[in-house]
Amino acid sequence: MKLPIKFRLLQMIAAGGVRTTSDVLRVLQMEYSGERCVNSKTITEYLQSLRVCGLLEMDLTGEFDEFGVPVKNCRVTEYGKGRLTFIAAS
Amino acid sequence: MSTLAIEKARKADLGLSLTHAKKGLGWGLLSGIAWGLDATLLAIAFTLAPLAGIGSAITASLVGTAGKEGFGGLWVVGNCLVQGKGAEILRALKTKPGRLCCLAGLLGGPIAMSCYVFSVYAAGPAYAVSIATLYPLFGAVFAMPILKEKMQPKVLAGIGICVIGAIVISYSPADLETYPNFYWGLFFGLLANVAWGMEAVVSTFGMDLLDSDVVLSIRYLTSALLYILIILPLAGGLGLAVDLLTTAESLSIFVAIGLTSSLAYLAWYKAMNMTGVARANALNNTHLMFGIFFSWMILDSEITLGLIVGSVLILFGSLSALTDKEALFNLRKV
Repeated sequence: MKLPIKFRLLQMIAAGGVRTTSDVLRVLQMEYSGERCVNSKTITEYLQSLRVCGLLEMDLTGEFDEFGVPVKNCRVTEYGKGRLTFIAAS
Repeated sequence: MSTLAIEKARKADLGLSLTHAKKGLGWGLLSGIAWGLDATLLAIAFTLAPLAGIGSAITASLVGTAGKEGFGGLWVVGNCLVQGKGAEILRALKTKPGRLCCLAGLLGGPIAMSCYVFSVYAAGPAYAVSIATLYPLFGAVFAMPILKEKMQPKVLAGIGICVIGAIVISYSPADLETYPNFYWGLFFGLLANVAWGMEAVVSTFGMDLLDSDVVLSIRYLTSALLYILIILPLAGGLGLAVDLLTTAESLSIFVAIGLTSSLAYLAWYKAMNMTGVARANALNNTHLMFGIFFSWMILDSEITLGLIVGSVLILFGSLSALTDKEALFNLRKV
């Protein structure tokens, strides 16, 4: 069973290997093939929401991705790691 | 990477953060407008058959709330399906935060909405909506320890001013002939506030890891099912609910109530996720002003001096929630 998309997003960033919005989007579009809600707008909003709620920290690299969004290195905060336990439990 | 490139990226990133914050504030204000209209439409629904002819205020309130939650649920789930988020609802229900959102449904639906609708029925829309301005206080108190939400002194002061505004409004003369259960209406209005404050915190906790539209769908589905399967049969309101569904005029108004109610909730949930519980609730509080405005415009309700002074205080308190930009970019003390 697939995880909810926002759950999976946090899990992917915690695991490392994805960095930009387009990296994240590519992986999610493969995993959630054909689902209309997996698009650049939604994923950018999810990342922003995770950031303002303190689950993610982001550092700018000075680059821009193909959607014109500044490329950031994302890290899951200690607070966010606490929430990852919900993913394990689910 | 050059300093210039970093600076350009920083500006673009700030723009993204500002857009996110402004959208959140806009949703907060929209929730106030929609909720104000919702209360007035509910008051109209209680003047129409079959609810108008019912001797028991409790049964009428419960059936009215069930109609509001049921039609609201149809709109919310429909919105999710249109956006291609139907599968997300099922996935979310298999997670702990998703199941926790069912608790938000219980608090915000059967508990808070029944109390609120009874309050509208027993105290009138202007007073019920006024008392409902107190819930941000409870939301703020619960959000600090549970969500670790930062509490800006200006936001707290704003909530305090809203409470004073609500008291000013409540002290205006009540029409005890039209509303003989007026004080019971005020009491149930207060109970609704405690439940809404808790619902806000529980659902915001869920929205940290789940889409806000999905969380809202779970909240509505839980609430509607509890009404249909448990509350209405226990209250003996199933027959009245069928009457409501088969009376054209009543059915039409409840479809409209479902739409305004679901829009109010959709906007409120998005605002809580994007700008924090306390700020979103303070903005949502403008529903008092809009409720009074719609009540005056549609129902020709009398506007007293207390209503005007209280509304101005509530508007001022709500605007105090618009604190400095930095506070909007980092909502939690983590």
